[in-house]
Amino acid sequence: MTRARWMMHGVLDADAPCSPILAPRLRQLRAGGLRALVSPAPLPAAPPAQRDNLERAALAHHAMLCAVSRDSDVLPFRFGQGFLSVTGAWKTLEVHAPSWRRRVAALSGKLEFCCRLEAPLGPTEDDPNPTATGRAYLSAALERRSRRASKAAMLQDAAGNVAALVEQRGLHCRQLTGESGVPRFDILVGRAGARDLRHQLEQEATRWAAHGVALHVAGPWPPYSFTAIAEHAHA
Amino acid sequence: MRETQVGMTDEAPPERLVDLLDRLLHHGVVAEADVSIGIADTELVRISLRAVAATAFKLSARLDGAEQRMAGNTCPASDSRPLR
Repeated sequence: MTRARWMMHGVLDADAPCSPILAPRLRQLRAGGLRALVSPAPLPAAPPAQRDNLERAALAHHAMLCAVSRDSDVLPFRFGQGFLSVTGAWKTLEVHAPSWRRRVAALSGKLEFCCRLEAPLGPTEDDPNPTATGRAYLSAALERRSRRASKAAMLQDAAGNVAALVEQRGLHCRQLTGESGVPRFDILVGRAGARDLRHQLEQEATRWAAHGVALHVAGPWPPYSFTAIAEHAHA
Repeated sequence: MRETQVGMTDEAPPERLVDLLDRLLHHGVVAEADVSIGIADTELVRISLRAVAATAFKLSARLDGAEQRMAGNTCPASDSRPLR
């Protein structure tokens, strides 16, 4: 398969302001009052280069959407969907424009933050020495279990605080459990309130760091996690 | 997957690459795309069933010279559901 493939990164209002984007071979397609950002998709490569190739492409996709979202409301597309031709991408835009326009409107002025909580075990909290005598081993194991239970409770308290903060501000939020069972919050916030929210979350992070709970705040970026919700709200 | 730290915006602190990729691959609008680009150990590019079905249908119709006969039947290419 040697034909060029094209990837759609996102759509925005046709008249929305947009700073010049530095991306090789970027095309802007217009239909149905929307503008779609389209560029060549990464081509297949041998396995060692394959992952780097995709990683670079994914980061470029994200960087482009972040750059656009600074000025305008952009509806982000899932990475990894391609079209065999620009015409195919344009036709898809034309067909789906009414639905996508509603989603752009529903997410107007909104950005996304991510807040992830962790309670990492310290270096002295590893498994007890298996060569220790029975009583010493049991004692160390019980102590470790107690510390872990205490950290888990602390993590839940911190998560409760973040949830309360989000609720207090009347923000839309998705609470998830990450890969390793740690709580994660995806928070939808208006541009005007983004700086204030970050400040509050960072204050929480400082407070909980003293208790051994790490609160990582990331964003803002385009509302990746809320595109489906926007559709449902309008349905 | 590498544990690279990635800067999001000028103001934002770095985020783990795995978290970011998880977001990019599982969230966002799903278009009715022709091609799905795989990740990691899966195949890199997979042509969607819709495209394959459309090609097979056209080829079959051409070879048999049966376009007229099949025109009234349901065409697999008309399936508009998004395929991954």
